[in-house]
Amino acid sequence: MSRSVPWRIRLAQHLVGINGAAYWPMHPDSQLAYPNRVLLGRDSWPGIEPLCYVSANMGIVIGDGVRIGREVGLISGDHDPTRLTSYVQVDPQVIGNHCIIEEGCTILPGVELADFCIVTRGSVVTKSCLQPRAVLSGNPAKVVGTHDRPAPSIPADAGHGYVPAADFDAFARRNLRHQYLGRFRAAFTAPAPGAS
Amino acid sequence: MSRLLNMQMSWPATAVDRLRRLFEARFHRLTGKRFFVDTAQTQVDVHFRMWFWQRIMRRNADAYWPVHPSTRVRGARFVVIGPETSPGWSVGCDIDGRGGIYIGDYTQIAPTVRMRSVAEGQAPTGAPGDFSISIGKYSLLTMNVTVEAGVRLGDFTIVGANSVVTDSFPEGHCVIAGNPARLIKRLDPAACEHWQRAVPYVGYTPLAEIATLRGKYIDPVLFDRIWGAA
Repeated sequence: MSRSVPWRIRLAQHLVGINGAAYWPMHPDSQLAYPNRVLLGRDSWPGIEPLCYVSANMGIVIGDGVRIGREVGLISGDHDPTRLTSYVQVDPQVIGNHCIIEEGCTILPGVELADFCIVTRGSVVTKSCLQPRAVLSGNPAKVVGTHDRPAPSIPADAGHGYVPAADFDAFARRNLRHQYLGRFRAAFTAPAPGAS
Repeated sequence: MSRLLNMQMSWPATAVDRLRRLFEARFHRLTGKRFFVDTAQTQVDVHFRMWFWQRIMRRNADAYWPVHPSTRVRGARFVVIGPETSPGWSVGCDIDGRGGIYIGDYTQIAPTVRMRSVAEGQAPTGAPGDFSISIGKYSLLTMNVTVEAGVRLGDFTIVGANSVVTDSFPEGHCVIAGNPARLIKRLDPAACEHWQRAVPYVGYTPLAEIATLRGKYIDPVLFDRIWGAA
């Protein structure tokens, strides 16, 4: 049984339209930019906690079963420091499967986190961490250890946000901005296996 | 599924969105105020939701700039902002202006930024004669930044994520980060671009009509320090 969406969040997104463009459940007090540049895995809802900022202008790829706390910033675009309204081209931010991002963290542009990483409270991840099961901490974040915590299993009926898992391939091909998905774009721009 | 296949909002949300757009487009015909249309493509565009919570529900009603319903603004009378910058436009900011805050033109302020213009443990003393926090033009405060009282930041200062600014960097043109914030990098002042908007807005007010805010929304002493020459 997958997690149920709180009725307040369903109301805000689907009746009032606050964060209504997101295809996953998102708190009305979270902020979102460019939802169609987010490639979301199963059972991970960035911004379900309040005060998150998901800024996907250069693409964010999030794996399965990622847990994200409140006040977390997933920042994918780097401002040009001399002209703040323009952005530097960077690779998309990648967050691996079953990562845990605790509250108050900020993940900076171009960062890639391996699977099962834990980012502790208030850390700022400035560099990629390709070591699975690492524990990152500090500002800027450093690997302070590893953990072997078993990841909770993903329920069989969990979808990619509101999109059921069976439909996600068609959804991603049709709607996501593939040029912002980096090395993940190939899976969605190649012809579908069943297509004639 | 067909709705999600086209990445559309649900039909009630679409209807509400249409109504909102209609309201924003016609608002100036009813009231003569053009901030919905004029700030539409700028850094801090006025959203209907912000206007509704501030002007109708009176949450953060004394702020004269658009503020997200999840942020808290205190002492907005002692906050002077330049055009196209709005502390608290993003989610979860906590702006305590009771000690006096100046924020320069076109400065961007990210979500959950805290500005503490009254030092910890001190009671605010009526009207401050000077700005406790002063942030220059074209700066960037990124996520989760805390600015403490008595901080002066120059133009083109970029404050890194999750940093706590306790010291002043009045010369500007630098990147600072950390807790406490330290100098990370200097920017080339010649490369920094001073751009301007054709119709600049200070919050809800056009820059040309800035004088109407004096005394009504902004403390006159602090107002004259910034806008006195103009």
